[in-house]
Amino acid sequence: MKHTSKLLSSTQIRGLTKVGDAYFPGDGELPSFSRCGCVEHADAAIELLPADDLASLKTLLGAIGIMPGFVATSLVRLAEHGPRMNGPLGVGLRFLRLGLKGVVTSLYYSGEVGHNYKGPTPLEVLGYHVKVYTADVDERDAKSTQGPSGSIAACRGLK
Amino acid sequence: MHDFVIIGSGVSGGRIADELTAGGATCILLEAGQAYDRRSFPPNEFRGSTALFWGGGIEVSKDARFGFIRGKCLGGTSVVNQADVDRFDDFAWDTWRDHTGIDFFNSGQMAEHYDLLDRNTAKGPIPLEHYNRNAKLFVESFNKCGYHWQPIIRAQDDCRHDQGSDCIVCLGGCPRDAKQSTLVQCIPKARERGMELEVEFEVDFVEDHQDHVRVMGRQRGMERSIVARKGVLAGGAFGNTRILKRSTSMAKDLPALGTAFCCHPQFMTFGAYDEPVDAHKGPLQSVQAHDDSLRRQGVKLENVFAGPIATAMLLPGFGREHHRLMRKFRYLTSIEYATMDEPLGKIEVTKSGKIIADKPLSASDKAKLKRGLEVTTELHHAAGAKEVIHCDQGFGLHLMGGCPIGLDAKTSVVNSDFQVHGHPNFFIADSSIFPRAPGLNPSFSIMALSVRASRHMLGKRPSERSIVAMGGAR
Repeated sequence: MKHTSKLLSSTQIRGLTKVGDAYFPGDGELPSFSRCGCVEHADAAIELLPADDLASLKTLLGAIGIMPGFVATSLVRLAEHGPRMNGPLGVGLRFLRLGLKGVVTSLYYSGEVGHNYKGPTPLEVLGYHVKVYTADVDERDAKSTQGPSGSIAACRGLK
Repeated sequence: MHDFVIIGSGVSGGRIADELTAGGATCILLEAGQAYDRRSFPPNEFRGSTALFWGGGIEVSKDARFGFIRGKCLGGTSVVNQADVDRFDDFAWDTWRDHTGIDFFNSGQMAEHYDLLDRNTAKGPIPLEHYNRNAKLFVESFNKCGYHWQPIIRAQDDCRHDQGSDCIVCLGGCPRDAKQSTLVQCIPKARERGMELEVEFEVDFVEDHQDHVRVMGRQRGMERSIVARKGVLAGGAFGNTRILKRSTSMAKDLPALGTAFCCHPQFMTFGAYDEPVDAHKGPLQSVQAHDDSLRRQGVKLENVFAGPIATAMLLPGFGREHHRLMRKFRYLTSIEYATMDEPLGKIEVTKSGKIIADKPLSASDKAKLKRGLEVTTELHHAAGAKEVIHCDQGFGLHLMGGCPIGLDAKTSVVNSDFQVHGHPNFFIADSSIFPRAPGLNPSFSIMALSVRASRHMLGKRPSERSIVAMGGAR
């Protein structure tokens, strides 16, 4: 796999991939997390995290990166119990779950895949296609001698 | 020097900018997020969730039981919400008036502000012929179970559902400017009247000097300072509380700062069907509960759905079982249940500026959530769902409190003229002043409160309309 991240090391990417495969192992039609190559877009998922959250995530992924795969899967299984647990352990597991599941889920269902992946994306397998009709407003803006209207005008001339 | 510096461009800040500039005031508007427009909104759920929200997508409560999502872009949460514009009912206003002693919290006195907004806002229900199957099953289940429902009134203009528009896209900004966010409805008009606008400007703290205010912050890594005669804090429950907590010379006078945090704790339930539902297609949200019994029980139900990333986050489990549930994506309906929670939460801010939102649930809150789960399960079964899926991950649907309004400076932060106690140069009118959770969608009432507060800011009587508004030119 091509290492494209400027924010995560190879070990951290390996950790992220293990977590991703634990959550999304594939089912024949849905590809596995690692197979679809969405991890190549990891930076887009984490670049706007607050600095301290990003640092914690990197530490965690680095540790998972050197664990055997079954340990990572056990960690994910444990984290999934977090919402139903009370006390400090429950708090820790819920943070773990939100952090790990949040990143891999965003990537897996991003619609973005690796440069070598040729199969359908997970979104395509689900049949998720959405759109908003804009032909009329695009045409109106194109004809306008005043330039784009509405919110576009609000953004012109920003410092 | 500007007359006003407005911090935050969302439902309240954008509205106040419109009102103040219409009244002849000079303003500068500061927004922490970036400016997007209908052509440049992020192209999908993945890019939108990271770019348009604080925390890079989500913030969480101190115990990680609840996730919080709040917009961080020009137009704020009004760009990424569902644009529901419900009036508060007597129950909500009367509860507030009884709690605060503030007389204008009643449907009669607030009506003039709602009426003004009605005249100036494109809004309405989704036509019945455009309801998607998710909405139709919601209605069917309510009718079968004997609960009352009503169409949701949404601030929208020409969504073109007849051309196949899918409103789920607009949770990341509306590509045709149909959603009447402040980005569409208010900020352009204020800009035409000369308002200055600074984006990517995150405010750290403010200072109250007798004849002016100073706002200190950072813009793209550079320290900036803005001076104006008066200030408007419109950063919401988290934003305003954070700014005031870091404004040490003011925070010491505000013992109630950070209190009364509430958030309409919300959970989703899904129903799985044999035939496709395609809840993500067409209008995303058309109907909601309108049932006096549920209202009195503090339970709020809405017909809604979420994109694949959010749905996958909400669905329990992992591995092949999670795949099994997600493969049903097109076959799912969803009902969200939220509760009118007690204002027991607290918002703290660490020395580094990180927000810590403590959101405990009282026994009453837990009972309301239990009731919400019971009702939604009953509704899913009544509509014919083959499987009902409960989600463990809660969300704070609306972030409220932190700077509660009231007459006593010991128990509130803002007075009945929307001024910060002891610091009359600063005004607040957004959801941070809510003294209690209303149990209803808050946006339209935030707008109404902001209209009322603008009159105070302009030195007018609350019932006095701006000249421009009376002329019908707005």
